[in-house]
Amino acid sequence: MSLAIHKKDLADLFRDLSGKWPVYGPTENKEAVTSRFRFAKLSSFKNFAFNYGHTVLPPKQFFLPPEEVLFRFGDNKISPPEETEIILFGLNRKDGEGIFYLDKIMSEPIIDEKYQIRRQNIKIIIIDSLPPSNSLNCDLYLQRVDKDHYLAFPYSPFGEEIAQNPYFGHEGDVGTISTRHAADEVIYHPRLDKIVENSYNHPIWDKLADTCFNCGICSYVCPLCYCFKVEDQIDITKNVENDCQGCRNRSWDSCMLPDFAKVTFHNFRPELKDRIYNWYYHKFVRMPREYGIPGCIDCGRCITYCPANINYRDVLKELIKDEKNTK
Amino acid sequence: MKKTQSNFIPNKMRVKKIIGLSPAVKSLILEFTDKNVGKKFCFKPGQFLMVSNLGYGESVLTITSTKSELPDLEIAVRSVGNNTQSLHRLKVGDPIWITGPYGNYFDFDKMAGREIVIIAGGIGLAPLRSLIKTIEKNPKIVGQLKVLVGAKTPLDLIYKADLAKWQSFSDIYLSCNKADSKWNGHIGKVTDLLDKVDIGYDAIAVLCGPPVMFEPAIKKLKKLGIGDDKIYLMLERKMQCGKGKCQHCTCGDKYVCIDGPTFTWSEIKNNWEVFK
Repeated sequence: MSLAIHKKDLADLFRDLSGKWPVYGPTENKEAVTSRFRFAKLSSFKNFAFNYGHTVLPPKQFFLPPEEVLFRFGDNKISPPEETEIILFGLNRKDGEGIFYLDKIMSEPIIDEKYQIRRQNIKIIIIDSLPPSNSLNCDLYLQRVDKDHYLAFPYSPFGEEIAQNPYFGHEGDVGTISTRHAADEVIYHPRLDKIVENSYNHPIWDKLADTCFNCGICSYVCPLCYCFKVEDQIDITKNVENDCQGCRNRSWDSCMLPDFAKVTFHNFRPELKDRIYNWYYHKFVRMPREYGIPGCIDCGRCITYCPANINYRDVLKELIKDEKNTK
Repeated sequence: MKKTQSNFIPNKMRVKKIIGLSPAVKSLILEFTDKNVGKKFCFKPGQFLMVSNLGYGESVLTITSTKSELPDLEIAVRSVGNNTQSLHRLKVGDPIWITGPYGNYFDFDKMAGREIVIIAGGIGLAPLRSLIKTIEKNPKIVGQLKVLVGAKTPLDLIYKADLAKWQSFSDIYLSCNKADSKWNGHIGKVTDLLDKVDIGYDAIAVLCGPPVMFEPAIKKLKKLGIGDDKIYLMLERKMQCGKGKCQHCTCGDKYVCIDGPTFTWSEIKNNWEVFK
């Protein structure tokens, strides 16, 4: 027997949670021409969007925000900011897996403490019609099994606590946990790391450099792109030499941008072609070797939002097709 | 690799002493403001810090002193960017903030009994000073030491006083790209010295300098019969974290901040972007 919740009770669950914590989740703007879905603070259950497909920005925006304060400084003192607890409600399984991998990246081999502090303050509830996979770090997983019912899988003490609520009842047996990935997805090709590594002289990189605008959107919308820059921001009204008032910020960067590897007198990656190759190299060579996973969850956000219509699935397929011809 | 807890909150230090090394380079000797933090701080030759004057950003700077000078630390700053220019304006007693140490370090077990050849171009001597000074403390930890130093002009040559002192336990060879008649060292590139100095095939060569120096130096060292695993290169890259996360310092499959900054040539010779 397993735990389940009726669809009509989801609104009550939401109301209970939002009474105690700020709740963020997918919401829909029906008037938008493109990018109808985004994550936002949900004031009521009515604004929650089931089956959102994909949002413009992935949930990494809550864990590694576009810009965050690492610490404030002034009067020769340093103070880290306080974090608030939030709930991410109703993510789909794919986005949940993205968070699982980002958690892994941000804790191995060196722990990113800033990320961990933020991460500990975020509770995650996933709602999907697929069964839970074994690549999830969520508190509660709700699997839609028919029109009105969701099976509930608590994965943490917090999830257990929520599942104690009276609107969680017991239902019949559940199916088995699914395998992690569909094997036919191009990003799980068994020799992909070797193929991409050996493709440096493949003509596709020149071709891509001709079409790519090096705008960096593919990094910003990617759930597993995590590169960042650190910059100081100062309050110019209180600025005194050697005792500035301000803060040190961490913000998103993109390895596609021309100055990404530039130091004062030298740019270590001046060619767009090299930067594009590096983007693929990172995702499909360095990351699999570092973490045992590709740096891609195949969500397709970068395909949807690329202004040059670059499609990594097509790129990888071409590299796989030409495997024997390149080296 | 060992998992270390690491954050972005820097430790406060104070400028204890400032020494001018050349028109563009200053050496700063720093002391911890909190004695307990200072007591716990340890590092090995070759490791670096992220140093900042708050409000001006952070710079990657190698520690130029040795552990016998702890809890004081010494760094060399070339005035080139926003933060390094502001570091040049600091006065004795001013606060300065550091995180680290980061990166790998020189393994004296591998260097024991061997001939060590240091090849440094310009500011590249600074990251190797900790290594040289550690050998100075106990010259027997290596077989013999040769130091080949290049600078643009005699005026740009850094650590002149040290170089004079180091002659007591090592062979020092100097070169300048341009020099007047008063200069009695070599005129040309630092890599030219590799043709003049007697170097054994089982020596360990340690290189640090501008990227253009590496290719000709490696070619000459290989000609001398030195193996790829005995050629050490200290690489420079942009860095924003020092923890293998920000991606700015990646070089093929390596992170310069955690796998390096020092690599053997055998580790990186097949790397697609070493000499970019």
